[in-house]
Amino acid sequence: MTGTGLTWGGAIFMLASWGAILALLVFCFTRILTRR
Amino acid sequence: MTTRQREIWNTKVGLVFALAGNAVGLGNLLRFPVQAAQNGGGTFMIPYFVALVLMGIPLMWVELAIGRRGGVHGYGTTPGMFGTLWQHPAARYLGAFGVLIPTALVLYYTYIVSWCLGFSVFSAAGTYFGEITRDEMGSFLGGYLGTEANPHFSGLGAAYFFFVVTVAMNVWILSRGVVRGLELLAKTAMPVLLVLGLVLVARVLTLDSVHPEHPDWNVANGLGFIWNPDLSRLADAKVWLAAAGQVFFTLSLGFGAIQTYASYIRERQDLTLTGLATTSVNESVEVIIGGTLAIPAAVVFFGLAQTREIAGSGSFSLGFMSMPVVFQQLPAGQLFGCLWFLLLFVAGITSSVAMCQPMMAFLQDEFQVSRKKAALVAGAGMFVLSQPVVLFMAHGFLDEMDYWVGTFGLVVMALVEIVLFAWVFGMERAWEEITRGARVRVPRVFYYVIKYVTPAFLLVILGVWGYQDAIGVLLMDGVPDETRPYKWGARLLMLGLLAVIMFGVYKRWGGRPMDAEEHRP
Repeated sequence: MTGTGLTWGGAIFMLASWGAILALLVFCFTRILTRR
Repeated sequence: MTTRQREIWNTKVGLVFALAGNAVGLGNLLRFPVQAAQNGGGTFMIPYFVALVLMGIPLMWVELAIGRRGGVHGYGTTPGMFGTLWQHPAARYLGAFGVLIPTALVLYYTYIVSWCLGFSVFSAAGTYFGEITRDEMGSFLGGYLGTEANPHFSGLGAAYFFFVVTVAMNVWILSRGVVRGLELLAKTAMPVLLVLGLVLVARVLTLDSVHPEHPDWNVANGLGFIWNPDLSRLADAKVWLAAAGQVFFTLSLGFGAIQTYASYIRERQDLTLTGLATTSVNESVEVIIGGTLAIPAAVVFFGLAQTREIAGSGSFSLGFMSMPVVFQQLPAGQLFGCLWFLLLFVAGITSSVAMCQPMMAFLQDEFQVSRKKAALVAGAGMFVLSQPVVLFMAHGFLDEMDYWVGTFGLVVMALVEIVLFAWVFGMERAWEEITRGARVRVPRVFYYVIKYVTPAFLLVILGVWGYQDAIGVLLMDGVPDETRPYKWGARLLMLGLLAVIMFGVYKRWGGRPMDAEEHRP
Protein backbone atom coordinates (compact mmCIF):
# COMPACT_ATOMS: atom_id res chain seq x y z
CA MET A 1 0.00 0.00 0.00
CA THR A 2 1.13 3.52 -0.71
CA GLY A 3 -0.29 6.84 0.30
CA THR A 4 0.36 8.40 -3.06
CA GLY A 5 -3.14 8.13 -4.46
CA LEU A 6 -3.98 5.93 -7.37
CA THR A 7 -0.75 5.62 -9.37
CA TRP A 8 -0.70 5.38 -13.16
CA GLY A 9 0.14 1.69 -12.84
CA GLY A 10 -2.73 1.17 -10.40
CA ALA A 11 -5.19 3.10 -12.56
CA ILE A 12 -4.26 1.19 -15.71
CA PHE A 13 -4.49 -2.12 -13.85
CA MET A 14 -7.86 -1.19 -12.38
CA LEU A 15 -9.36 0.00 -15.67
CA ALA A 16 -7.95 -2.97 -17.60
CA SER A 17 -9.43 -5.38 -15.04
CA TRP A 18 -12.80 -3.66 -15.06
CA GLY A 19 -12.73 -3.56 -18.86
CA ALA A 20 -11.89 -7.25 -19.17
CA ILE A 21 -14.64 -8.27 -16.76
CA LEU A 22 -17.24 -6.07 -18.44
CA ALA A 23 -16.17 -7.27 -21.90
CA LEU A 24 -16.63 -10.88 -20.76
CA LEU A 25 -20.02 -9.96 -19.30
CA VAL A 26 -21.18 -8.32 -22.54
CA PHE A 27 -19.80 -11.16 -24.68
CA CYS A 28 -21.54 -13.85 -22.64
CA PHE A 29 -24.90 -12.13 -22.37
CA THR A 30 -24.89 -11.16 -26.04
CA ARG A 31 -24.34 -14.82 -26.93
CA ILE A 32 -26.96 -16.00 -24.45
CA LEU A 33 -29.61 -13.51 -25.49
CA THR A 34 -29.14 -13.53 -29.25
CA ARG A 35 -28.92 -17.24 -30.08
CA ARG A 36 -31.53 -19.84 -29.38
CA MET B 1 -34.79 -45.15 -7.90
CA THR B 2 -35.93 -41.71 -8.90
CA THR B 3 -39.43 -41.66 -10.27
CA ARG B 4 -40.46 -38.02 -9.99
CA GLN B 5 -40.00 -35.59 -12.84
CA ARG B 6 -37.14 -33.28 -11.86
CA GLU B 7 -37.56 -29.56 -12.49
CA ILE B 8 -35.35 -27.73 -14.99
CA TRP B 9 -34.43 -24.06 -15.23
CA ASN B 10 -36.96 -22.19 -17.30
CA THR B 11 -34.67 -19.68 -19.07
CA LYS B 12 -30.96 -19.32 -19.85
CA VAL B 13 -30.79 -15.91 -18.18
CA GLY B 14 -32.62 -17.30 -15.16
CA LEU B 15 -30.05 -20.09 -14.93
CA VAL B 16 -27.10 -17.66 -15.11
CA PHE B 17 -28.67 -15.31 -12.55
CA ALA B 18 -29.43 -18.25 -10.25
CA LEU B 19 -25.84 -19.50 -10.48
CA ALA B 20 -24.54 -15.95 -10.05
CA GLY B 21 -26.86 -15.45 -7.07
CA ASN B 22 -25.46 -18.68 -5.68
CA ALA B 23 -21.89 -17.40 -6.12
CA VAL B 24 -22.38 -13.74 -5.20
CA GLY B 25 -22.58 -13.44 -1.45
CA LEU B 26 -21.18 -11.64 1.55
CA GLY B 27 -17.71 -12.74 0.48
CA ASN B 28 -17.84 -10.52 -2.62
CA LEU B 29 -18.59 -7.36 -0.68
CA LEU B 30 -16.83 -7.94 2.65
CA ARG B 31 -14.26 -10.71 2.39
CA PHE B 32 -12.78 -9.64 -0.94
CA PRO B 33 -11.86 -6.04 0.00
CA VAL B 34 -10.44 -7.22 3.31
CA GLN B 35 -8.33 -9.89 1.63
CA ALA B 36 -7.13 -7.47 -1.05
CA ALA B 37 -6.22 -4.81 1.50
CA GLN B 38 -4.47 -7.31 3.80
CA ASN B 39 -2.41 -8.80 0.99
CA GLY B 40 -0.90 -5.89 -0.83
CA GLY B 41 -3.78 -4.47 -2.88
CA GLY B 42 -2.72 -4.52 -6.51
CA THR B 43 -0.21 -7.24 -5.69
CA PHE B 44 -3.08 -9.44 -4.49
CA MET B 45 -5.02 -8.84 -7.69
CA ILE B 46 -2.34 -10.42 -9.93
CA PRO B 47 -2.46 -13.90 -8.31
CA TYR B 48 -6.20 -13.44 -7.91
CA PHE B 49 -6.69 -13.27 -11.69
CA VAL B 50 -4.17 -16.08 -12.27
CA ALA B 51 -6.08 -18.30 -9.81
CA LEU B 52 -9.37 -17.32 -11.43
CA VAL B 53 -8.19 -18.55 -14.84
CA LEU B 54 -6.25 -21.62 -13.75
CA MET B 55 -8.48 -22.81 -10.93
CA GLY B 56 -11.75 -20.88 -10.65
CA ILE B 57 -13.13 -21.12 -14.18
CA PRO B 58 -11.95 -24.74 -14.76
CA LEU B 59 -13.49 -25.85 -11.46
CA MET B 60 -16.70 -24.02 -12.29
CA TRP B 61 -16.89 -26.00 -15.56
CA VAL B 62 -16.09 -29.25 -13.74
CA GLU B 63 -18.81 -28.67 -11.12
CA LEU B 64 -21.35 -27.70 -13.77
CA ALA B 65 -20.50 -30.82 -15.81
CA ILE B 66 -20.70 -33.13 -12.78
CA GLY B 67 -24.01 -31.53 -11.81
CA ARG B 68 -25.56 -31.71 -15.27
CA ARG B 69 -24.48 -35.33 -15.66
CA GLY B 70 -25.94 -36.11 -12.21
CA GLY B 71 -29.24 -34.45 -13.12
CA VAL B 72 -29.50 -36.52 -16.30
CA HIS B 73 -29.17 -39.62 -14.12
CA GLY B 74 -31.78 -38.31 -11.68
CA TYR B 75 -29.38 -37.15 -8.97
CA GLY B 76 -29.32 -33.66 -7.46
CA THR B 77 -26.48 -34.16 -5.00
CA THR B 78 -22.90 -35.38 -5.00
CA PRO B 79 -23.48 -38.84 -3.41
CA GLY B 80 -25.42 -39.93 -6.48
CA MET B 81 -23.29 -37.85 -8.86
CA PHE B 82 -19.98 -39.28 -7.65
CA GLY B 83 -21.52 -42.74 -7.96
CA THR B 84 -21.92 -42.17 -11.68
CA LEU B 85 -18.25 -41.18 -11.98
CA TRP B 86 -16.71 -44.00 -9.98
CA GLN B 87 -18.43 -47.37 -9.72
CA HIS B 88 -17.41 -48.00 -6.15
CA PRO B 89 -19.57 -47.66 -3.02
CA ALA B 90 -16.95 -45.35 -1.48
CA ALA B 91 -17.78 -42.76 -4.13
CA ARG B 92 -21.19 -42.12 -2.61
CA TYR B 93 -19.79 -41.77 0.89
CA LEU B 94 -17.23 -39.26 -0.43
CA GLY B 95 -20.17 -37.47 -2.01
CA ALA B 96 -21.78 -37.13 1.43
CA PHE B 97 -19.36 -34.23 2.04
CA GLY B 98 -21.07 -32.34 -0.78
CA VAL B 99 -24.28 -32.40 1.26
CA LEU B 100 -22.57 -31.83 4.61
CA ILE B 101 -20.63 -28.71 3.58
CA PRO B 102 -23.54 -26.56 2.35
CA THR B 103 -25.81 -27.82 5.14
CA ALA B 104 -23.29 -26.98 7.87
CA LEU B 105 -22.39 -23.69 6.20
CA VAL B 106 -25.98 -22.53 6.07
CA LEU B 107 -26.33 -22.98 9.83
CA TYR B 108 -24.16 -19.94 10.46
CA TYR B 109 -24.35 -18.17 7.09
CA THR B 110 -28.11 -17.58 7.40
CA TYR B 111 -27.59 -16.11 10.86
CA ILE B 112 -25.06 -13.62 9.47
CA VAL B 113 -27.40 -12.81 6.57
CA SER B 114 -30.10 -12.02 9.15
CA TRP B 115 -27.77 -9.44 10.76
CA CYS B 116 -27.75 -7.62 7.41
CA LEU B 117 -31.55 -7.48 7.41
CA GLY B 118 -31.51 -6.23 11.00
CA PHE B 119 -28.87 -3.58 10.32
CA SER B 120 -30.74 -2.47 7.22
CA VAL B 121 -33.77 -1.74 9.42
CA PHE B 122 -31.57 -0.14 12.11
CA SER B 123 -30.01 2.10 9.44
CA ALA B 124 -33.36 3.20 8.05
CA ALA B 125 -34.64 3.88 11.58
CA GLY B 126 -31.38 5.56 12.65
CA THR B 127 -31.14 3.20 15.65
CA TYR B 128 -27.36 3.24 15.83
CA PHE B 129 -27.00 6.89 14.86
CA GLY B 130 -25.16 8.54 17.71
CA GLU B 131 -22.69 5.63 18.06
CA ILE B 132 -20.05 7.57 16.19
CA THR B 133 -16.88 5.56 16.74
CA ARG B 134 -15.93 2.04 15.71
CA ASP B 135 -15.70 1.02 19.36
CA GLU B 136 -19.20 2.29 20.01
CA MET B 137 -20.48 0.43 16.94
CA GLY B 138 -18.62 -2.67 18.15
CA SER B 139 -20.55 -2.37 21.38
CA PHE B 140 -23.82 -1.92 19.43
CA LEU B 141 -23.08 -5.10 17.43
CA GLY B 142 -22.09 -6.91 20.63
CA GLY B 143 -25.41 -5.94 22.21
CA TYR B 144 -27.30 -7.19 19.15
CA LEU B 145 -25.44 -10.51 19.29
CA GLY B 146 -25.96 -10.83 23.04
CA THR B 147 -22.27 -10.79 23.87
CA GLU B 148 -22.51 -7.62 25.95
CA ALA B 149 -25.18 -5.46 27.53
CA ASN B 150 -25.91 -1.99 26.17
CA PRO B 151 -28.79 0.51 26.19
CA HIS B 152 -30.03 -0.64 22.76
CA PHE B 153 -30.50 -4.36 23.40
CA SER B 154 -31.42 -6.25 26.53
CA GLY B 155 -30.94 -9.70 25.02
CA LEU B 156 -31.09 -11.68 21.82
CA GLY B 157 -34.71 -10.76 21.03
CA ALA B 158 -33.93 -8.56 18.01
CA ALA B 159 -31.34 -11.01 16.65
CA TYR B 160 -33.83 -13.87 16.95
CA PHE B 161 -36.58 -11.84 15.30
CA PHE B 162 -34.51 -11.11 12.18
CA PHE B 163 -33.14 -14.65 12.16
CA VAL B 164 -36.63 -16.16 12.19
CA VAL B 165 -37.72 -13.79 9.41
CA THR B 166 -34.67 -14.77 7.31
CA VAL B 167 -35.20 -18.51 7.89
CA ALA B 168 -38.90 -18.13 7.01
CA MET B 169 -37.97 -16.35 3.76
CA ASN B 170 -35.58 -19.19 2.90
CA VAL B 171 -38.26 -21.81 3.56
CA TRP B 172 -40.85 -19.92 1.51
CA ILE B 173 -38.50 -19.54 -1.48
CA LEU B 174 -37.36 -23.17 -1.30
CA SER B 175 -40.92 -24.46 -0.99
CA ARG B 176 -41.81 -22.78 -4.29
CA GLY B 177 -39.32 -24.96 -6.15
CA VAL B 178 -36.59 -24.36 -8.70
CA VAL B 179 -38.45 -22.24 -11.26
CA ARG B 180 -41.01 -20.38 -9.12
CA GLY B 181 -38.68 -20.08 -6.14
CA LEU B 182 -34.96 -20.05 -6.91
CA GLU B 183 -35.15 -18.77 -10.48
CA LEU B 184 -37.73 -16.09 -9.74
CA LEU B 185 -35.71 -14.93 -6.74
CA ALA B 186 -32.55 -14.72 -8.85
CA LYS B 187 -34.24 -12.87 -11.71
CA THR B 188 -35.58 -10.34 -9.21
CA ALA B 189 -32.70 -10.10 -6.77
CA MET B 190 -29.73 -9.92 -9.13
CA PRO B 191 -30.87 -6.77 -11.00
CA VAL B 192 -31.78 -5.20 -7.62
CA LEU B 193 -28.34 -6.11 -6.30
CA LEU B 194 -26.58 -4.61 -9.33
CA VAL B 195 -28.59 -1.37 -9.09
CA LEU B 196 -27.99 -1.05 -5.32
CA GLY B 197 -24.29 -1.72 -5.84
CA LEU B 198 -23.94 0.84 -8.64
CA VAL B 199 -25.81 3.52 -6.64
CA LEU B 200 -23.41 2.99 -3.74
CA VAL B 201 -20.37 2.94 -6.06
CA ALA B 202 -21.47 6.30 -7.51
CA ARG B 203 -21.83 7.65 -3.96
CA VAL B 204 -18.37 6.49 -2.89
CA LEU B 205 -16.64 7.73 -6.05
CA THR B 206 -18.12 11.21 -5.53
CA LEU B 207 -17.12 11.46 -1.87
CA ASP B 208 -15.17 14.60 -1.03
CA SER B 209 -12.44 14.55 1.55
CA VAL B 210 -14.21 15.14 4.88
CA HIS B 211 -11.20 15.94 7.03
CA PRO B 212 -9.50 19.15 5.79
CA GLU B 213 -6.57 18.44 8.10
CA HIS B 214 -6.01 15.14 6.24
CA PRO B 215 -6.20 15.89 2.50
CA ASP B 216 -4.66 12.47 1.79
CA TRP B 217 -7.80 10.78 3.19
CA ASN B 218 -9.54 10.60 -0.18
CA VAL B 219 -11.08 8.16 -2.66
CA ALA B 220 -7.99 8.12 -4.90
CA ASN B 221 -5.90 6.85 -2.01
CA GLY B 222 -8.61 4.33 -1.23
CA LEU B 223 -8.54 2.98 -4.79
CA GLY B 224 -4.76 3.06 -4.69
CA PHE B 225 -4.95 0.94 -1.52
CA ILE B 226 -6.74 -1.76 -3.55
CA TRP B 227 -5.08 -1.37 -6.95
CA ASN B 228 -1.51 0.02 -6.74
CA PRO B 229 0.73 -2.99 -7.39
CA ASP B 230 3.64 -3.61 -5.05
CA LEU B 231 5.55 -6.11 -7.15
CA SER B 232 8.05 -6.83 -4.38
CA ARG B 233 5.33 -8.84 -2.58
CA LEU B 234 4.60 -11.10 -5.57
CA ALA B 235 7.14 -13.62 -4.31
CA ASP B 236 5.21 -13.96 -1.04
CA ALA B 237 3.46 -17.37 -1.06
CA LYS B 238 0.94 -16.10 1.49
CA VAL B 239 -0.42 -13.61 -1.06
CA TRP B 240 -0.91 -16.36 -3.66
CA LEU B 241 -2.68 -18.61 -1.16
CA ALA B 242 -4.94 -15.81 0.01
CA ALA B 243 -5.85 -15.00 -3.61
CA ALA B 244 -6.54 -18.64 -4.48
CA GLY B 245 -8.65 -18.98 -1.32
CA GLN B 246 -10.70 -15.94 -2.24
CA VAL B 247 -11.39 -17.31 -5.74
CA PHE B 248 -12.76 -20.45 -4.07
CA PHE B 249 -15.12 -18.63 -1.75
CA THR B 250 -16.31 -16.12 -4.28
CA LEU B 251 -17.35 -18.69 -6.89
CA SER B 252 -18.87 -21.01 -4.25
CA LEU B 253 -16.57 -23.81 -5.42
CA GLY B 254 -16.28 -26.99 -3.37
CA PHE B 255 -19.62 -26.29 -1.64
CA GLY B 256 -21.74 -28.86 -3.48
CA ALA B 257 -24.27 -26.14 -4.33
CA ILE B 258 -23.16 -25.43 -7.92
CA GLN B 259 -23.53 -29.14 -8.73
CA THR B 260 -27.07 -29.18 -7.37
CA TYR B 261 -28.05 -26.09 -9.37
CA ALA B 262 -26.45 -27.65 -12.47
CA SER B 263 -28.52 -30.81 -12.00
CA TYR B 264 -31.54 -28.80 -13.16
CA ILE B 265 -29.89 -27.98 -16.52
CA ARG B 266 -31.05 -29.68 -19.73
CA GLU B 267 -28.75 -32.45 -21.02
CA ARG B 268 -27.54 -30.58 -24.08
CA GLN B 269 -27.60 -27.07 -22.65
CA ASP B 270 -24.36 -25.13 -22.87
CA LEU B 271 -22.14 -25.25 -19.78
CA THR B 272 -19.06 -23.35 -20.85
CA LEU B 273 -20.85 -20.12 -21.72
CA THR B 274 -23.04 -20.49 -18.63
CA GLY B 275 -19.93 -20.87 -16.48
CA LEU B 276 -18.24 -17.87 -18.06
CA ALA B 277 -21.37 -15.73 -17.72
CA THR B 278 -21.74 -16.71 -14.07
CA THR B 279 -18.10 -15.87 -13.45
CA SER B 280 -18.41 -12.50 -15.21
CA VAL B 281 -21.43 -11.47 -13.11
CA ASN B 282 -19.71 -12.62 -9.94
CA GLU B 283 -16.49 -10.77 -10.78
CA SER B 284 -18.41 -7.61 -11.68
CA VAL B 285 -19.97 -7.60 -8.23
CA GLU B 286 -16.73 -8.54 -6.50
CA VAL B 287 -14.00 -6.60 -8.28
CA ILE B 288 -15.91 -3.57 -9.56
CA ILE B 289 -18.54 -3.09 -6.83
CA GLY B 290 -16.91 -4.84 -3.85
CA GLY B 291 -13.51 -3.30 -4.56
CA THR B 292 -14.90 0.21 -4.83
CA LEU B 293 -17.18 0.39 -1.78
CA ALA B 294 -15.96 -0.43 1.69
CA ILE B 295 -12.20 0.17 1.55
CA PRO B 296 -12.19 3.48 -0.40
CA ALA B 297 -15.02 4.75 1.84
CA ALA B 298 -13.07 3.69 4.94
CA VAL B 299 -9.95 5.52 3.70
CA VAL B 300 -11.95 8.75 3.25
CA PHE B 301 -13.28 8.66 6.80
CA PHE B 302 -10.57 6.85 8.77
CA GLY B 303 -7.37 7.40 6.75
CA LEU B 304 -4.90 4.85 5.48
CA ALA B 305 -3.41 3.73 8.78
CA GLN B 306 -6.77 3.00 10.43
CA THR B 307 -8.11 1.36 7.27
CA ARG B 308 -5.16 -1.00 7.34
CA GLU B 309 -6.06 -1.80 10.95
CA ILE B 310 -9.76 -2.24 10.04
CA ALA B 311 -8.87 -4.62 7.19
CA GLY B 312 -6.67 -6.54 9.62
CA SER B 313 -9.55 -6.99 12.05
CA GLY B 314 -11.72 -8.73 9.46
CA SER B 315 -14.92 -8.58 7.46
CA PHE B 316 -17.39 -8.09 10.31
CA SER B 317 -15.41 -5.14 11.61
CA LEU B 318 -15.44 -3.54 8.17
CA GLY B 319 -19.08 -4.22 7.35
CA PHE B 320 -20.87 -3.86 10.67
CA MET B 321 -18.65 -1.49 12.68
CA SER B 322 -16.80 0.79 10.27
CA MET B 323 -19.37 1.29 7.52
CA PRO B 324 -22.12 2.43 9.95
CA VAL B 325 -19.71 5.10 11.23
CA VAL B 326 -19.19 6.22 7.62
CA PHE B 327 -22.94 6.44 6.97
CA GLN B 328 -23.46 8.63 10.01
CA GLN B 329 -21.20 11.25 8.45
CA LEU B 330 -22.89 11.23 5.04
CA PRO B 331 -25.86 13.33 3.97
CA ALA B 332 -28.84 10.94 3.71
CA GLY B 333 -26.73 8.47 5.71
CA GLN B 334 -29.76 6.52 6.93
CA LEU B 335 -30.75 5.85 3.32
CA PHE B 336 -27.25 4.82 2.22
CA GLY B 337 -26.80 2.68 5.33
CA CYS B 338 -30.09 0.95 4.59
CA LEU B 339 -29.05 0.38 0.96
CA TRP B 340 -25.63 -1.03 1.99
CA PHE B 341 -27.10 -3.60 4.37
CA LEU B 342 -29.91 -4.38 1.94
CA LEU B 343 -27.23 -5.04 -0.70
CA LEU B 344 -25.51 -7.46 1.69
CA PHE B 345 -28.84 -9.09 2.56
CA VAL B 346 -29.83 -9.62 -1.08
CA ALA B 347 -26.37 -11.02 -1.89
CA GLY B 348 -26.60 -13.27 1.17
CA ILE B 349 -30.08 -14.71 0.75
CA THR B 350 -29.51 -15.76 -2.87
CA SER B 351 -26.56 -17.77 -1.52
CA SER B 352 -28.29 -19.14 1.57
CA VAL B 353 -31.13 -20.70 -0.47
CA ALA B 354 -28.47 -22.23 -2.73
CA MET B 355 -26.76 -23.78 0.31
CA CYS B 356 -30.09 -25.28 1.44
CA GLN B 357 -30.88 -26.72 -1.97
CA PRO B 358 -28.49 -29.74 -1.78
CA MET B 359 -30.27 -31.01 1.36
CA MET B 360 -33.60 -30.32 -0.33
CA ALA B 361 -32.51 -32.24 -3.43
CA PHE B 362 -31.11 -35.10 -1.33
CA LEU B 363 -34.47 -35.51 0.42
CA GLN B 364 -36.53 -35.05 -2.75
CA ASP B 365 -34.48 -37.13 -5.19
CA GLU B 366 -33.32 -39.95 -2.95
CA PHE B 367 -36.17 -40.28 -0.43
CA GLN B 368 -39.15 -39.01 -2.44
CA VAL B 369 -39.93 -36.33 0.15
CA SER B 370 -42.28 -33.68 -1.22
CA ARG B 371 -40.86 -30.25 -1.97
CA LYS B 372 -42.87 -28.46 0.70
CA LYS B 373 -42.06 -31.05 3.33
CA ALA B 374 -38.36 -30.93 2.38
CA ALA B 375 -38.39 -27.13 2.70
CA LEU B 376 -40.00 -27.35 6.14
CA VAL B 377 -37.50 -29.99 7.27
CA ALA B 378 -34.60 -27.86 5.94
CA GLY B 379 -35.94 -24.72 7.64
CA ALA B 380 -36.69 -26.39 10.97
CA GLY B 381 -33.33 -28.18 10.91
CA MET B 382 -31.55 -24.94 10.07
CA PHE B 383 -33.22 -23.08 12.94
CA VAL B 384 -32.74 -25.79 15.57
CA LEU B 385 -29.17 -26.75 14.69
CA SER B 386 -28.03 -23.14 14.45
CA GLN B 387 -28.93 -22.48 18.09
CA PRO B 388 -25.41 -23.21 19.35
CA VAL B 389 -24.07 -20.77 16.73
CA VAL B 390 -26.42 -18.06 18.04
CA LEU B 391 -25.92 -18.78 21.73
CA PHE B 392 -22.18 -19.52 21.74
CA MET B 393 -21.11 -16.86 19.26
CA ALA B 394 -18.60 -15.36 21.67
CA HIS B 395 -16.97 -18.74 22.34
CA GLY B 396 -15.68 -19.46 18.85
CA PHE B 397 -18.42 -21.92 17.83
CA LEU B 398 -18.95 -20.18 14.50
CA ASP B 399 -15.21 -19.80 13.85
CA GLU B 400 -14.63 -23.53 14.38
CA MET B 401 -17.37 -24.48 11.92
CA ASP B 402 -16.21 -21.87 9.44
CA TYR B 403 -12.68 -23.23 9.44
CA TRP B 404 -13.58 -26.87 8.85
CA VAL B 405 -16.54 -26.64 6.50
CA GLY B 406 -16.14 -23.09 5.15
CA THR B 407 -12.40 -23.09 4.49
CA PHE B 408 -10.51 -26.37 4.66
CA GLY B 409 -13.46 -28.56 3.64
CA LEU B 410 -14.00 -26.64 0.40
CA VAL B 411 -10.49 -27.35 -0.87
CA VAL B 412 -10.73 -31.03 0.11
CA MET B 413 -14.09 -31.35 -1.65
CA ALA B 414 -12.81 -29.62 -4.78
CA LEU B 415 -9.73 -31.85 -4.90
CA VAL B 416 -11.84 -34.99 -4.49
CA GLU B 417 -14.25 -34.00 -7.25
CA ILE B 418 -11.60 -32.99 -9.77
CA VAL B 419 -9.61 -36.20 -9.16
CA LEU B 420 -12.78 -38.28 -9.56
CA PHE B 421 -13.80 -36.41 -12.69
CA ALA B 422 -10.51 -35.91 -14.52
CA TRP B 423 -8.64 -39.01 -13.41
CA VAL B 424 -11.08 -41.73 -12.31
CA PHE B 425 -13.91 -40.97 -14.72
CA GLY B 426 -11.25 -40.07 -17.29
CA MET B 427 -10.25 -36.80 -18.89
CA GLU B 428 -11.48 -37.71 -22.38
CA ARG B 429 -15.00 -38.37 -21.10
CA ALA B 430 -14.77 -35.40 -18.74
CA TRP B 431 -13.85 -33.11 -21.63
CA GLU B 432 -16.74 -34.46 -23.66
CA GLU B 433 -19.09 -33.76 -20.72
CA ILE B 434 -17.82 -30.20 -20.34
CA THR B 435 -17.93 -29.30 -24.02
CA ARG B 436 -21.19 -31.06 -24.98
CA GLY B 437 -23.58 -28.39 -26.30
CA ALA B 438 -20.91 -25.69 -25.88
CA ARG B 439 -21.60 -22.51 -27.81
CA VAL B 440 -18.12 -21.12 -27.27
CA ARG B 441 -15.11 -23.17 -28.22
CA VAL B 442 -13.03 -23.87 -25.13
CA PRO B 443 -9.30 -23.75 -25.92
CA ARG B 444 -7.79 -27.25 -25.76
CA VAL B 445 -5.23 -25.96 -23.26
CA PHE B 446 -7.95 -26.18 -20.58
CA TYR B 447 -8.00 -29.95 -21.10
CA TYR B 448 -4.50 -30.02 -19.61
CA VAL B 449 -5.26 -27.28 -17.09
CA ILE B 450 -8.16 -29.33 -15.68
CA LYS B 451 -6.16 -32.54 -15.71
CA TYR B 452 -2.88 -31.28 -14.26
CA VAL B 453 -2.76 -27.62 -13.25
CA THR B 454 -5.97 -27.25 -11.23
CA PRO B 455 -5.40 -30.42 -9.15
CA ALA B 456 -1.79 -29.34 -8.56
CA PHE B 457 -2.98 -25.87 -7.50
CA LEU B 458 -5.44 -27.48 -5.07
CA LEU B 459 -2.83 -29.87 -3.70
CA VAL B 460 -0.45 -27.01 -2.98
CA ILE B 461 -3.17 -25.00 -1.21
CA LEU B 462 -4.24 -28.02 0.80
CA GLY B 463 -0.66 -28.91 1.69
CA VAL B 464 0.30 -25.43 2.80
CA TRP B 465 -2.94 -24.77 4.68
CA GLY B 466 -2.71 -28.20 6.26
CA TYR B 467 0.85 -27.57 7.39
CA GLN B 468 0.40 -23.93 8.42
CA ASP B 469 -3.06 -23.95 9.98
CA ALA B 470 -5.01 -27.17 10.04
CA ILE B 471 -2.80 -29.10 12.45
CA GLY B 472 -2.77 -26.18 14.89
CA VAL B 473 -6.53 -25.70 14.59
CA LEU B 474 -7.11 -29.44 15.01
CA LEU B 475 -4.97 -29.55 18.15
CA MET B 476 -6.52 -26.26 19.36
CA ASP B 477 -3.14 -24.58 19.78
CA GLY B 478 -3.51 -21.43 21.85
CA VAL B 479 -7.21 -22.02 22.52
CA PRO B 480 -8.09 -21.17 26.16
CA ASP B 481 -9.39 -24.08 28.25
CA GLU B 482 -12.78 -22.44 28.77
CA THR B 483 -13.32 -22.19 24.98
CA ARG B 484 -12.40 -25.78 24.15
CA PRO B 485 -15.76 -27.36 25.07
CA TYR B 486 -17.50 -25.05 22.59
CA LYS B 487 -15.02 -25.94 19.84
CA TRP B 488 -15.61 -29.61 20.58
CA GLY B 489 -19.33 -28.94 20.46
CA ALA B 490 -18.97 -27.48 16.97
CA ARG B 491 -16.97 -30.52 15.87
CA LEU B 492 -19.55 -32.91 17.31
CA LEU B 493 -22.31 -31.04 15.50
CA MET B 494 -20.47 -31.34 12.17
CA LEU B 495 -19.62 -35.02 12.76
CA GLY B 496 -23.21 -35.72 13.79
CA LEU B 497 -24.49 -34.12 10.59
CA LEU B 498 -22.01 -36.13 8.55
CA ALA B 499 -23.11 -39.34 10.28
CA VAL B 500 -26.78 -38.61 9.51
CA ILE B 501 -26.02 -37.89 5.84
CA MET B 502 -23.85 -41.01 5.54
CA PHE B 503 -26.66 -43.04 7.12
CA GLY B 504 -28.94 -41.55 4.46
CA VAL B 505 -26.49 -42.67 1.78
CA TYR B 506 -26.40 -46.15 3.33
CA LYS B 507 -30.19 -46.37 3.48
CA ARG B 508 -30.52 -45.21 -0.11
CA TRP B 509 -27.86 -47.34 -1.73
CA GLY B 510 -26.47 -49.72 0.87
CA GLY B 511 -23.09 -51.02 -0.18
CA ARG B 512 -23.94 -51.98 -3.72
CA PRO B 513 -21.82 -50.66 -6.57
CA MET B 514 -23.30 -48.15 -8.92
CA ASP B 515 -24.47 -48.87 -12.40
CA ALA B 516 -23.62 -45.71 -14.29
CA GLU B 517 -26.57 -46.13 -16.56
CA GLU B 518 -29.08 -47.09 -13.88
CA HIS B 519 -30.90 -43.78 -13.97
CA ARG B 520 -30.37 -42.81 -17.56
CA PRO B 521 -33.80 -42.20 -19.06
